[in-house]
Amino acid sequence: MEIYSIAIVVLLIVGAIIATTTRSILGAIIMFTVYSLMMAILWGLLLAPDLAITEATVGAGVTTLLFVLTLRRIKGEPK
Amino acid sequence: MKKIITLIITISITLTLFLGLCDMPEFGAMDNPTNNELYRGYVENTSIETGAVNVVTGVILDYRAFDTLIEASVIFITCVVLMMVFMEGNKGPKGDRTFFDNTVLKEMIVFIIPATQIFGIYLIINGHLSPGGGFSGGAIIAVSLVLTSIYVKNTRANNQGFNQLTKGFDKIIAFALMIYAGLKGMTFVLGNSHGIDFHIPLGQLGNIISGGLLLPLNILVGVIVALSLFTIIDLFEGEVVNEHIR
Repeated sequence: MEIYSIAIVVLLIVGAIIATTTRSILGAIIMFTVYSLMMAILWGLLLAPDLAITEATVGAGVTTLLFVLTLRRIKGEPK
Repeated sequence: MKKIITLIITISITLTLFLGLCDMPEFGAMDNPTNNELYRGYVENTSIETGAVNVVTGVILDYRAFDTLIEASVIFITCVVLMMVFMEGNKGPKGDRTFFDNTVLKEMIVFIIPATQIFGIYLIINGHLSPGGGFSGGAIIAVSLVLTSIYVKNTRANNQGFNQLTKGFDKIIAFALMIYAGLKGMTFVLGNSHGIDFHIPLGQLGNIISGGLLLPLNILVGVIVALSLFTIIDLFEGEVVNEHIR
């Protein structure tokens, strides 16, 4: 389980770096979603299922929807 | 040159933060400052005093209920401010919905909507028994409402009613907040402080209808969060017709 946690933390760091450095805004949003899901798994591993559910819904669901809708609003439909 | 300076500043800040991290106590050790009598008191007494199996719900909706009230009103205030900003320019027709005009999406949404709604309602109703509660359940219901609105707007020709759906939501949310404040304030007025012995019966530990005010408060928080988030996301749809933004 230790190795699993370390792998998820490494993925979190890689995801954060990709989300900030990628050129495509839609790609950054998707990486942000992946980041939130990884974080939710990590909360689950830390025995905090309350936080895991909230992170998965708010971080991965609602925030992604808001970002995608805003992107569509400010620059038309994402290609 | 600029890049090198930025790199040096970033690395030095990171190293400073890691230095601070070295002073942190070991994760999960027995003699950590977090393992004090407060933590033990919550674990031992929450189920007896509030009737909640889920200690987190017992804390956030009983001991710290006014914290939760203010958190819920923060979402409500965000929703109202966004309404003030966006409703002004949204008089024109809503934008075309070709972005969501996807056959796979349309076919799959039908199977996803009931599952998400049932899961959200389960989280809210069982908030004091299992992980979850008003906030997460309300967010899941908000997402399912957004999926429903995408589906209806894409498949039905006559969706005028759905465009006007969020019109009275601010009043419903404000009403739910007031009921929450009233229910929680009642425990101050009718509590043990003035010799009046009044207790909401806690019921059998583990039943759905138990835990006194926890179930109604969970439902109220769920309604507030679901309707606020749905209104916020619905406001972001459609084209901008505002002169100030262009």
